[in-house]
Amino acid sequence: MIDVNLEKLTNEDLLEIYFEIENYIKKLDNDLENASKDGVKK
Amino acid sequence: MIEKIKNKIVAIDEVLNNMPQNNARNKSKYITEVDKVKKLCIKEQDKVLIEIKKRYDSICDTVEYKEDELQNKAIDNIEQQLYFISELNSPVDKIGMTEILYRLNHFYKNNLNEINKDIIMAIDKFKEVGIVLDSDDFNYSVYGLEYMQNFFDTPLEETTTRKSLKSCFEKIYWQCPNLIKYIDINFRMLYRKNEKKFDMYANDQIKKAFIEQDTNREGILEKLYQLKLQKDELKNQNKYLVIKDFLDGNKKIDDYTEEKIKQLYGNLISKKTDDIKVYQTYNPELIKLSCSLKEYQQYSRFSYIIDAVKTIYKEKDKYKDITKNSLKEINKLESKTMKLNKKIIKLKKKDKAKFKLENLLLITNTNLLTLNKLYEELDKNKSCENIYNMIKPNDSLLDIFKFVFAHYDYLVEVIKDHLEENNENDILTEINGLKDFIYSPYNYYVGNMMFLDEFNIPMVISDHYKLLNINIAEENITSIDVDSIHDSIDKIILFEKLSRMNLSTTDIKFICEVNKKIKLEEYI
Repeated sequence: MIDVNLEKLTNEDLLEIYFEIENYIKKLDNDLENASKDGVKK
Repeated sequence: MIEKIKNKIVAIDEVLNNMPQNNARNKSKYITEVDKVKKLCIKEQDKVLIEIKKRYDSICDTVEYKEDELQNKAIDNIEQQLYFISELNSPVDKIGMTEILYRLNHFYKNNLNEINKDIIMAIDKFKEVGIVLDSDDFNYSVYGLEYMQNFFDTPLEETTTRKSLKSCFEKIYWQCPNLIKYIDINFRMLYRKNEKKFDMYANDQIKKAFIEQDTNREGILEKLYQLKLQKDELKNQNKYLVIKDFLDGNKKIDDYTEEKIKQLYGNLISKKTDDIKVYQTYNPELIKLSCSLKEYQQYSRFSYIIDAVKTIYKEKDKYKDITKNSLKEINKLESKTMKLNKKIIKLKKKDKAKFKLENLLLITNTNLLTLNKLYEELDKNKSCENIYNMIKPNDSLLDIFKFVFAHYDYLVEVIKDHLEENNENDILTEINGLKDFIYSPYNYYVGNMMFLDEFNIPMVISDHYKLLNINIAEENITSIDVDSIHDSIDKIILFEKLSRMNLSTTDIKFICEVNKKIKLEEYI
């Protein structure tokens, strides 16, 4: 997924990537929860 | 690069969103796929986290700062030794007896445990000198004798807890509310009786201290200064403490940009420049200025001590040999009272002549009250006489502080006169503050200015630093501005320290953010 050399990133960029992924994981969690709760979508 | 990753996430998300969820099979497929992506994301995030942790550790590559207990102990020992070897105080001060007896007579009015602890300590002090006391030594008053008989009959480890001692105290207290005061002056009489032994002991200990430290008084003081300087240097150069201040939020990295530091220099240095390196050549003088300001703040805090001594010193001739008469009177009344006490003890044993006994008790009580007053007067006069005998007109401010510090009872009296409330803790804080001040290796002018001279210290400081192109007005030193000057100098020094420690502002920002938002220890 991240095909970049992390060592070359600035501190700022590194943290931004970390939180970008973090937020996306939260969204996926949310999607999973909704999918398990909801019925079948037409 | 960030955009690339963001776009990748959007693309993955789009694929997931386009997956059909219209039946149970598709739904299950969708859930499996989301789960798979999630696991992948966690894996990728871990990779990033490892890099974050690597950088965090490399910035914070330092061991936790811990106070060197051995060094602290060495400092305490030397400070105690300096008090003991002082030329200014008597053996009773040196061994800490003045402090114990003062406490006994003035504090803990309602705390019998503390009273008993102090009595044990006073007995131990005599033992240290080679004098073993027993109940017979406490025949100053019949009440004191009765209490001390009980006291010595109680095993040492139980003296502060045993109930019988408490009930004995309560019984006697109602007959003689001044019981503890009389035990105190009993100790004083015992000390005066054994003064030579105390002198000999003190002289021996002083000789031992010089041999142990392999130097004289000045050398021992110099050793203390060196230890304190070493301790501060270790602390000042410690990377862990610098980082901790930022991590704990005590300092904000945004205050340490070159622009902001230049502004601070601009307020302090009269020769303006755009080159921070030129400004930094002033740092050694700025550190000295900071020390001078702290010294002045400390001096101002304790100037009431100088005023108190000056007041007595102005009429010092009045106090020449002033204790002679008090001592004569005390000796006379003490011997009279002791004789009466013997009679009382005999009559008590026979359990007759009740009227005579009561009459004698009344006389001795009056005598003891007079003796207590005489001792209080003696203490006061002794301080004045010491000022007459020991203080010289060319003594420095520091000499006066050291003189007062060496005489515990006088010091406490001066502090009590100064403080609005006579809380024991406040007095102790003041004593410890004074100790730190007189043993500070950073004092400069208090050791050079004569106490009788009327110096305008802020003006002296201001003039001195103006010559070095440092802007500091007299009124800045005497107002609350002084705190902001300290703050500016601290920031300037820390800015230089950060570059010496190879800590950039981006590094500090990074670790602060990581510390605030990611709990690294939970992950790795």
